[in-house]
Amino acid sequence: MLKTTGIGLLIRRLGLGSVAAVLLWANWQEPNLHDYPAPIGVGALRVAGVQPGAQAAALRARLLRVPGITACTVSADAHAVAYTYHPDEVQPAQVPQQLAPAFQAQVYEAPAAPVAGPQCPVPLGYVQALEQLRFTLNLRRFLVKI
Amino acid sequence: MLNITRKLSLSLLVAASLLGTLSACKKNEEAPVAQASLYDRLGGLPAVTAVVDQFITNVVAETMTSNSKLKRTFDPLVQSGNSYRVASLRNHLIDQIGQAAGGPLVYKGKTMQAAHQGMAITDVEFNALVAELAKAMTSKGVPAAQQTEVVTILSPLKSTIVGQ
Repeated sequence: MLKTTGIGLLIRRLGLGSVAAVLLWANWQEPNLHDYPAPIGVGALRVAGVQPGAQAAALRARLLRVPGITACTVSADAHAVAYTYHPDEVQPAQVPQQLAPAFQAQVYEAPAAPVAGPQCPVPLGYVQALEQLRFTLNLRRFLVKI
Repeated sequence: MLNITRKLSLSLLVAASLLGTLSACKKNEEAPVAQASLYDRLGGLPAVTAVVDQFITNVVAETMTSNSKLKRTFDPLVQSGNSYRVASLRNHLIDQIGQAAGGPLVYKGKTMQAAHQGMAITDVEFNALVAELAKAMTSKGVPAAQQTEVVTILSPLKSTIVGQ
């Protein structure tokens, strides 16, 4: 009984200490301005046959109507389109379908460059997830008027 | 007679009070009103974020052209599997422009010199980048005067970015 109580107490104490440590870590600094807006991804397309002027403007307007797309640039001369999007709302593979049949678009990705020099062993996705957690637990964000 | 004198005194008192109040109001009107920060005049965080997102798409589209001036520096952003680097760039830009414009929070990233060390960015590349920022602001409806203010507060960074 004593053992159980002692272990329970220890776990409880460790648990409370851990929670306090995480909260301290999260609230140690003011949040960042960039933590407030929703995260974005960047996509690029090659769109065949798009002409400068009205057609390029129509393509831009069409893209901006796709839910989740926040900004886009059409470079008609290069048949190039770049856009930012909210990954929760739309994925790059869906965008060409949204533009068809009026525009024949293909997802563009420059080939990955060969890795040179030392690389961070922690994937950047993990770092971003940790930052997101810190912002969520940072109560100082409620004191900032953005 | 006494009643008339009292009424006259009271009227004078009211008139004097009114004059005093009016002159105080005038003083308040003449007092310099603290001008809102550029951050607030731009439209706060939503406007800064919109400009930065538009700037990023402008830059990525520019790297896809055949005579691109920014391809050397920014091509890694559109290379497969590098989406987090774009997000990181966006974060730094929001923080930096937000702070420079008088926003509520501070940029905590590297110094510009440290961030651009070894990149050997040229004047041509820097100017092309500023042109894309100007296009982004125009596209998002930022008035010309405020565009000039943004460029003016960011231009001192040029010496810490170019030629590092």
